[in-house]
Amino acid sequence: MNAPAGRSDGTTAEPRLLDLRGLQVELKTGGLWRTVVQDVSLSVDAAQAVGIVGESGSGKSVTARSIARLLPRGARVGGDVRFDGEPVWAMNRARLRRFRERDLGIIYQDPRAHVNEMHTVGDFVTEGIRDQSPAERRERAIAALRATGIPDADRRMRQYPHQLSGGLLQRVMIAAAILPGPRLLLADEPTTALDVTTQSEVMAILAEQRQARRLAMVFITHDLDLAAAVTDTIAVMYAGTIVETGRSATMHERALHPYTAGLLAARPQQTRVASLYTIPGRPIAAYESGPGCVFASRCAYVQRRCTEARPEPRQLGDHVVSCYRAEELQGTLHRALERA
Amino acid sequence: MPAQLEVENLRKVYRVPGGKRDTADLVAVDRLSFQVQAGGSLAIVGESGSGKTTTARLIAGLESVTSGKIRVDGETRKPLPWARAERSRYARQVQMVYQDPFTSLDPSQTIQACLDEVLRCHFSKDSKERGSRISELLVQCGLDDRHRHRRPRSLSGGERQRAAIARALAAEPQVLILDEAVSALDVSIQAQILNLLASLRSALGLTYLFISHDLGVVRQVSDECIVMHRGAAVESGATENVLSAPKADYTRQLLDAIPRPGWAPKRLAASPASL
Repeated sequence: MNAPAGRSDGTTAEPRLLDLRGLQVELKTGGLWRTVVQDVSLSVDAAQAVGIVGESGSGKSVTARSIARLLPRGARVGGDVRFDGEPVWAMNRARLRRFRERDLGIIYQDPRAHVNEMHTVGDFVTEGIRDQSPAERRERAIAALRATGIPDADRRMRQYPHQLSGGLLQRVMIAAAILPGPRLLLADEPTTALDVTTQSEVMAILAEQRQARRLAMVFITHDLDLAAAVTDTIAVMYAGTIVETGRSATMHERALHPYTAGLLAARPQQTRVASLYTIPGRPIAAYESGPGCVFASRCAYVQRRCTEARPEPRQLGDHVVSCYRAEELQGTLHRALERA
Repeated sequence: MPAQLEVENLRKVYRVPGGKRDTADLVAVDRLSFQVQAGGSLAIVGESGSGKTTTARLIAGLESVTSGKIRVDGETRKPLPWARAERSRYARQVQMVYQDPFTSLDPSQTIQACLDEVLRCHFSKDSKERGSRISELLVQCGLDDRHRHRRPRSLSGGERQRAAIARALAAEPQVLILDEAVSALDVSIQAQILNLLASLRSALGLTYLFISHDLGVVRQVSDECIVMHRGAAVESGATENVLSAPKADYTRQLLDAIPRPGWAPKRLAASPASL
């Protein structure tokens, strides 16, 4: 099923590969408990790619980390995260470890912060596969490195992380992440630190590997254009909340939430120069949002009801949007996007 | 009339440890020449290692030139080290805004103290005059008197970058070098700062040298641009022409790599060995 996650009750027989229901995360910062993710529901099917797009403080990375249960110790988590029907936050230590090793592949923004500089590339890539002979492990690792576009894989196996460029090291990360045969890839801004031409290559390699292995992906990014190009579905997050979910391919023309439309219009265009549309103010965090719509304080179309009660997500065409005025604003937002 | 900023045959070579035998030369910038007229905006575009930031640092006097000339307002800049009087005079001509205001602003200094320091350094104004000039600078950059006593830590990313721009403008420079000045900002904030930069240029007649890896941003802020690759200019001209009808293969590659509606990521035909 490709329809975006909304209020579906999950009554289908087959469980979704990944299912987040009403995820709520509070973290303690400066002695205060602060809500950083509120009521996030999202699902991912086998082989499907879902993009979570948002600015700083939107809660996109925390959402990704709660899927892998990689939140700071003592974080308060509510709601449900299920992988293939199994509640992730109820797994015991052994199961959690196997889940992270086997079922999940994780790729981070900064590969250098996630490798041990004292270990060779070979050690790092073969770490996730244990139940084979060293020779077999080595062979599989070399094959995986080649598959990610590293030609002299043999030599690279013996090298150390500092001898590799950022683009190359990110490919090593991809190889290490896919080698144990996971079913879901968590990619948190995997190309943000890379040059555009390297980004294009790394994303192409990721797409090839996903297709060959029917690998699902949760793709975290601040770049709506990139997410639209490499995912099937996009969830736009603001202040710890998903404000809109929809098909990636049509997000540009069919954005229904004023925040999504604002993000699209604020981006400098390739074709024309005009004074940029700006969203006034700055992005806020979940704990700064009032009782109403999280975007109310910056929205150009705000009304009284928007500040009083939070709009529920609802289906509109093939999008799910949390905005009271979505229907009546459709035309206005569309025209604004065409002008931008 | 001489160009506001002119660079002729600029070259910068770094000595780097070269494996087993002593050192090797790394040519960061090679035979780079360009001019920017007063009130113009020139962008230097490139990826990491292209030499764009080195060029900016050479012009600002943060690195010494290996060979070539830099002229500002028709006057050739002396080689480093500069005497105090020169440093001060040059600083009135060229100011720089960096990518990360967190590291370029003093964390212990309030925004008022930061601006006041620049004013005391360059102008003989009494404290009342400086106070009203600070207000003027804040307003120009979209801040107000409430931000005077704040420190960088308590400002948002966008406000910090506004403060960094205000500090650069405090010296009343002719040329502003913006080194990836909007790259670290959220999209919605980036748009605000780009609009601010556009209005400041027309209001104050500033000349911009805009260093960026982001072609969308470059189109927005520059009249002309230079595409750099491995230290050399591979293409230059009116930004509109370069971006809509690129002549160099490398420029085309760069443009093709930008995500946009209908775009799909591609592997390059031949992966550069340096990857």
